[in-house]
Amino acid sequence: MTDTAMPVVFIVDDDLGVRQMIARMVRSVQLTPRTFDSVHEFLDQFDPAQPGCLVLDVRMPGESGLELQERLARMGVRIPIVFITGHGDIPMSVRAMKAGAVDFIEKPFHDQVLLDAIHTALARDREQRKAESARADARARLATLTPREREVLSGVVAGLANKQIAAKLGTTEQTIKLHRGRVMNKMRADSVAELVILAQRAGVMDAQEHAPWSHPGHEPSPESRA
Amino acid sequence: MHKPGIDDTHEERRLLTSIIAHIPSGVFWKGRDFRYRGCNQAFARSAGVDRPEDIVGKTDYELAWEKEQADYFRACDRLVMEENRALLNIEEVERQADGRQAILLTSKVPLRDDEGRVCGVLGIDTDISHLKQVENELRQIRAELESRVQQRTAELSAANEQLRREIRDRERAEEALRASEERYRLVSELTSDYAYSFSVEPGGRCRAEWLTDAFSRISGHPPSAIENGDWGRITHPDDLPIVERRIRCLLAGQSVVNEFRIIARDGHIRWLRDHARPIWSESERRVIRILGAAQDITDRKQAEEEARRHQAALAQVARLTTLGELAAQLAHELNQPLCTMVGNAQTAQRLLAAPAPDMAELRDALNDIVTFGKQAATVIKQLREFLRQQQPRPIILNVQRTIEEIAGLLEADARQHAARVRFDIADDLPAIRGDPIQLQQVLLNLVRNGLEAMSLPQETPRELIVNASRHAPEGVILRVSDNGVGIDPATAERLFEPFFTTKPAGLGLGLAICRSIIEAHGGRMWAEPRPDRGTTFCAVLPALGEETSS
Repeated sequence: MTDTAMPVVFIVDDDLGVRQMIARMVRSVQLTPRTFDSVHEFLDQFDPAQPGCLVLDVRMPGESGLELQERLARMGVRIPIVFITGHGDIPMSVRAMKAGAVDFIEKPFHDQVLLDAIHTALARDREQRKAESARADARARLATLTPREREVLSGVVAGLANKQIAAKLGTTEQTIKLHRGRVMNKMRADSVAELVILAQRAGVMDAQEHAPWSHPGHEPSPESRA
Repeated sequence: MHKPGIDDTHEERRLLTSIIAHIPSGVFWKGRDFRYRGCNQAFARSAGVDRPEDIVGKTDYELAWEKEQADYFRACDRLVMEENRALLNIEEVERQADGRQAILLTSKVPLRDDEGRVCGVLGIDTDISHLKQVENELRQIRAELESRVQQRTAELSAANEQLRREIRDRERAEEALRASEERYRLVSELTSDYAYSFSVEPGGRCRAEWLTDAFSRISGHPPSAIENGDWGRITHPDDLPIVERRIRCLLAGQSVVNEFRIIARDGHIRWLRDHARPIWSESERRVIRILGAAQDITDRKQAEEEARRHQAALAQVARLTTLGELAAQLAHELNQPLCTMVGNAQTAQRLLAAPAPDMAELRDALNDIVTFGKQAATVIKQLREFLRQQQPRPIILNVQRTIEEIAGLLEADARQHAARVRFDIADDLPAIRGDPIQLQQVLLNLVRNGLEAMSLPQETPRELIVNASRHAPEGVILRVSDNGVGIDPATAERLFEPFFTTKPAGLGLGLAICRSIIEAHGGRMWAEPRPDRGTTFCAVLPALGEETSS
């Protein structure tokens, strides 16, 4: 799995001196740098499966750092970005931070500031990848359910009692109980709370509004985590 | 007394016979039977008989004549005798006994007996061949004469016709000339050109031969102003060398095209484009005439000047903008190596803190510090050179106009910063000596400075005041006031120190440059806090004549 691969600090800066200096700084804390002198070169070689973070100069000839940030977002690539700039202005940094940048650092910078930002970025990447992997896991478990079991799961997630679910599905409470046991088993959930979280990760909640028993306002917050 | 008698008759007869014998005509007589009764010697000869007596008894058919001729003679004789009348002056061509074709003039009369009856015919013929020949020759001569007269007449009328044609041609030519002159006059009136011809004396002196009217129309001067080739009299003093070189080239046999200024009679400057050609005399081995034309190109020159001013203004704006951009560019140029140096130095420290420092990495880091330190020094050196290039090029200038020239630029700048600029320029400012572009740079810098001082959100509307007024005794004082954050009086003097800055992206050179420019103009510069809010930057510039004393 990609989780276990060594992270790489991608450095994109058109200035050779700055590029080499940051790479050296990164190596001094036992991390692996890879340098690129333009956005174009970076996009040519970038592999989204590779864990890591991006240290990006804002202003460069050709495509700028901000443009790369927008392009990656459109591609669905969520690699954390640390911006560095020679002459940052406030609107530019606001724009970068709003678009999800980890930090916006002005040159010349203190090494610790940049290294901290890089560590933060790598940690965020790790978390994102872990969450993504958990989502993939939950989706895989969900895929093992039969259509009837999915209907039962939806009812459980919506907070309905077995009796209510049975009535809605036109069957007995006993049958629902059986289905529910199999759902818990297949989703490898120890509790209803865990089942709800798994269902949520797997994206069951997204389809919830289409269900006949939808209870608006009762949905768990998307931020909640396992 | 003479008494007629036989002797008289005899004498008379002898005389008659003699006459007949000797007259130069042929005389003959015939009887009614057409036979000859006698003839004289001349006739006998033509008839081909030796003696007159030999003819007696013969008819024409027995003589030398051809038959047709004899027939004709017989017919004539018959006519004379039968009709009893004379045939006079019959011209006939008759073949003579000697074979000669003779032209004879013959007359025949009837011979009558005593009773008056016709008994024969008497003929007399005269050879008029010679006469005829003369007559012929005469006729020929006359014909020739006539033909000659005719020929001469034809020649004369041809000459006449030629003359008439020439007269017609000449009239036409004169008409064409008049039209051409009229056309020329119109062209000369309508165009801004004039043409001239100067004769050149052996000593090089010139004298106008002709000069078209446009000269006076353009210059206002009478033709006499340059009739001696003395162009210098009306040439702009600055262009005298051009005019002098022009005449030298022309006298050396070289065609020239020159543009120079003349001073018109009304004092205005007119630009001329003069194209002149020398005429070389092979026999005299020198230039004997100068032909030329000149055109009034004042309008074109003014347009060119306008365009040049416009271009200079653009270049000036570019330079002014450059000053602002220069600071940003410099900040970037210095920041990159600085960032690299700091980062490498910190990395080196970090590497050294490790139990077993990576010496290769450490060496690379230190090498980069040296490399980029040198690069930063180069940037600084380039900056110094740039500033040195900004040597003032002073002219006598009008402060009001100098400010007005960049008012638009300042207003545009202010709009970008959500501020407005108010201009308060006195109209009694003395002239000063200075480099307008540098003074505009100072003004632009002060305005940008003021705008930046007002960049933070503030309650009072952002307003800059650009004020210029008379400042006794020195000259002109420029003031740029903002209502921004203001300055700490303690640091007011430090503002002008190089590399002192309160702005995050500033280089701290703007005000230092401003002050050095003002001081190079013999003036001084300072900043003072405004009583309520903001700062005023002041620059005093000495008036003309005061600059050396300050």
